[in-house]
This record gives sequence, C-alpha cells and structure tokens, in this order.
Amino acid sequence: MAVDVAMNMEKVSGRAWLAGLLAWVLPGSGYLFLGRVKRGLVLGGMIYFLFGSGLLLGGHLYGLHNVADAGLLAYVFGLCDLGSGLLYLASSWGGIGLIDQASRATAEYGNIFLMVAGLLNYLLTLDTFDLGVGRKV
Amino acid sequence: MRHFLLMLVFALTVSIVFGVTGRETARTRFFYGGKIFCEFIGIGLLLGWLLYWLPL
Repeated sequence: MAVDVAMNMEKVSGRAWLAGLLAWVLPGSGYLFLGRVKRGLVLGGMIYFLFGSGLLLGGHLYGLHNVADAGLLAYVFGLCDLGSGLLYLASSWGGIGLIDQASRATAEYGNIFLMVAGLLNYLLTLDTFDLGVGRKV
Repeated sequence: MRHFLLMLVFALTVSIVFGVTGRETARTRFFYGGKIFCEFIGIGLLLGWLLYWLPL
C-alpha cells in the first residue's frame, strides 16, 4: 500500500515537473498537456498577445548581460524577458526585437509588455505545476 | 489617447490572467479580474494626475 502511494506520488510529481517545464518553454502548452485546453488557450493566448504587442510597439528584449544604458538592471530585465521561454530564445536567435527603438513613443510600453509577458508566464508555470501536483483544481 | 488605450489593453490582459489563476469559479474570477482591472485604471489615473501637478 505504502509502496503504491509512493509510486503514484512519483508519477504525479514527474508529470507536474514536465507540465511546468512545458508551460515555461511554450506558454499555455503545460495546461494543454494536463488536459486543461480552455485554460491553456486563454492564458497562453494572453502571453502571446502581450509578447507580440510588445514587439509591435517597438520594445526590445534584454540579454542576460550588462548593457551600458541599463547597467546591472539589464540582468533583471533580461530575467523578466526570459520568462517567455521559447518566444524569447527564438526571437533572440532570430535577431527579432534586439534593437532598442527609443525614438518611438511607444518603445517603453513595448519593453514593459515584453517583460510582463515573461513574468506572467513564470506565474503560469507555477500555476501549471500546482495543477499537476493537485494543489489546485 | 494612445497611452490610455495601451494602459487599458495592459490592464485587461493582466487582470484576465490574474482572474483565471487567482480564483476557482467563473463568477469569482469575473469579479476578482474586474477588481484588478479597476485598480489598475484607477491607480494609473491617480498617479497620472499627481505627476501632472508635480513640477518635474
């Protein structure tokens, strides 16, 4: 009996970790993995919308390194942006949204939209993990 | 006007995410999300007017 419970916990735990990882890599996919399709489409859609809007508004992605104009804060901004997972990595590798367009009136809004997309995806990653573990229903 | 529109879009998006993740039922999600949305807009307008009067 105790062995069965331990094995079940192990299975649930592995599933939750995988769901959490998927949720970070591709926003919304963790929910889809857990069978929460509607939740995944709505919440994942919000992340894609914020990220896309951020790029369209002229925002740029910070790297995980020191930048002259932002100083040490660039690390923090970079970590916020990194929350978008594959969106951030693909954009960085593809050279999309890397140039600071400070002359555009909406560039700062764009930066905030991009960072908040990442931060919200961190929240969704934790939410997905909680759902996988069974802490939430 | 563009700035206010962006603030509305931002507040709406974030309040949807907070509403869905923060509450369990559709009704409580609606009210919790609505509360957060109103707080975003209200505090944004309040700070905007405060900064308007400050001689910066």
